[in-house]
Amino acid sequence: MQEQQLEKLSLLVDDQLDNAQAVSMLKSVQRDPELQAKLQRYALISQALKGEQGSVASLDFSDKIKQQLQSEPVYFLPRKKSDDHIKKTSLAVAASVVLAVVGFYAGKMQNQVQPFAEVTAAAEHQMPVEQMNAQFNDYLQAHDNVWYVNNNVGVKSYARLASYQHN
Amino acid sequence: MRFLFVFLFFVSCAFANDDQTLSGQQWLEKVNHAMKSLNYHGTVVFMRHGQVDTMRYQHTFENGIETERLTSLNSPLREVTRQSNEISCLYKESQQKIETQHPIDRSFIVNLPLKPERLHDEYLFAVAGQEMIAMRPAQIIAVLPKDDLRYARKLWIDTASLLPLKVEVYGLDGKTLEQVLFTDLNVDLLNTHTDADQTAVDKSKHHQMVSQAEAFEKSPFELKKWPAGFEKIFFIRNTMQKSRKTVDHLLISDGFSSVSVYFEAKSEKSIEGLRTLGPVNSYSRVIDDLQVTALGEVPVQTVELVAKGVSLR
Repeated sequence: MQEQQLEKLSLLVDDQLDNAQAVSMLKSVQRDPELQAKLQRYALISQALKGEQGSVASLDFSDKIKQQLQSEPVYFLPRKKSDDHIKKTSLAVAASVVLAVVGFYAGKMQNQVQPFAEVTAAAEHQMPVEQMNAQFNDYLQAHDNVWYVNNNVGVKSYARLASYQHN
Repeated sequence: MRFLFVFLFFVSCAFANDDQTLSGQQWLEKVNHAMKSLNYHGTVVFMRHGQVDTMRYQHTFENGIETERLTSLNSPLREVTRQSNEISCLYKESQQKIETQHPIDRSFIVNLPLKPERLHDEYLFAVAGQEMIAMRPAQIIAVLPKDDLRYARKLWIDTASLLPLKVEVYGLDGKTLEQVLFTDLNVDLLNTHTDADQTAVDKSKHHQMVSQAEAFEKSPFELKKWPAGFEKIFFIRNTMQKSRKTVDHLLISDGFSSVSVYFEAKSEKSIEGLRTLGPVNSYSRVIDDLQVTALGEVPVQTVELVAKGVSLR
């Protein structure tokens, strides 16, 4: 069993274990200080064989860091109340401005939407564009014979329409 | 508009020829007569709403009858002929022929008032400088409206024949809306008309206009508002070329600009509002069961004013 674990540890160092086996092996290493020592040694051998520069932390490296942090003094510095107050006030003002802007544009959008709705409503009662163009051409030719000079196809293509609800 | 007016006025003053004896009004009167009475031909370029048409043009005046013939040089090939007030258009490729009748004689080149002296409150006729057009010396006459209800225009008049060589129409922003330009012009010396013929034609035309305009007073429609200087020219019941609908047609004009007012029964789908095609604007509205449309080569406010001036008796 021990040999199997050592073999797996070697495979772990060589990154040849699948995910499940690697996780399982790491959990074992976490529980077993002897395996941790083995892992450190294997890692050093592997780096030496690959010609990499070895840098292995000592086993109690993390414990030392933890102790260092615990010995650090804690400073309870009082915060300036006014800063907090200014922040809250600024946030409130910003929120109000945003609300006002959103409200203004919402109102404006409503006002803008209304005429388009009227146009849509008007369009339902209006002639199709082609029919309108045909009528426009008829009117043009009846208005002035000079429109016979123009190519009728051109007249159609240049016709522009701007219609709106009549109050 | 005011800027354009002032600008053109100063240009006209700056280029005014001190030796010039004819006033702007007199130039226009002479052009009007020359256009109708001379025989001439040439090549004309029409530039309207972004479209350019180059056509051979021929004008004849024989036995008191005025004939204009336009033949396109580019596709679609067509020939448009006006003999007095009868117009025919032959499309050469499809052999389609359209024949119609217009109540009054209207030139393909430019329309001018018979009595420009009546329009002094509406227009300033300024004698501007001279330029060469189609290798001919031309006198420029600026026709400047005194309100925003009509377009300004300039005429380049051949000083030898008194025929218009070039016409430009300007929008309210001063931009050119349309141009008509002779690239070559030849005046045929043999004229078969007499002054008596011309007088007879003018009299019959005047009679025709008056009787037709009077008919409008008996119609169920009323025009309460229209721009100053405009007169009722004719009122007829017309059948539209394509839709074959029967439409009552009133034409009002100040001689340069004209507005047609169309009255037809409102169909299930109506037209309301403004439409624009280059210099032409139209404004439609519905009065009860009547569809009213004012259309003309005038600014937007003019067609709107006329359309809104219509009521039922």
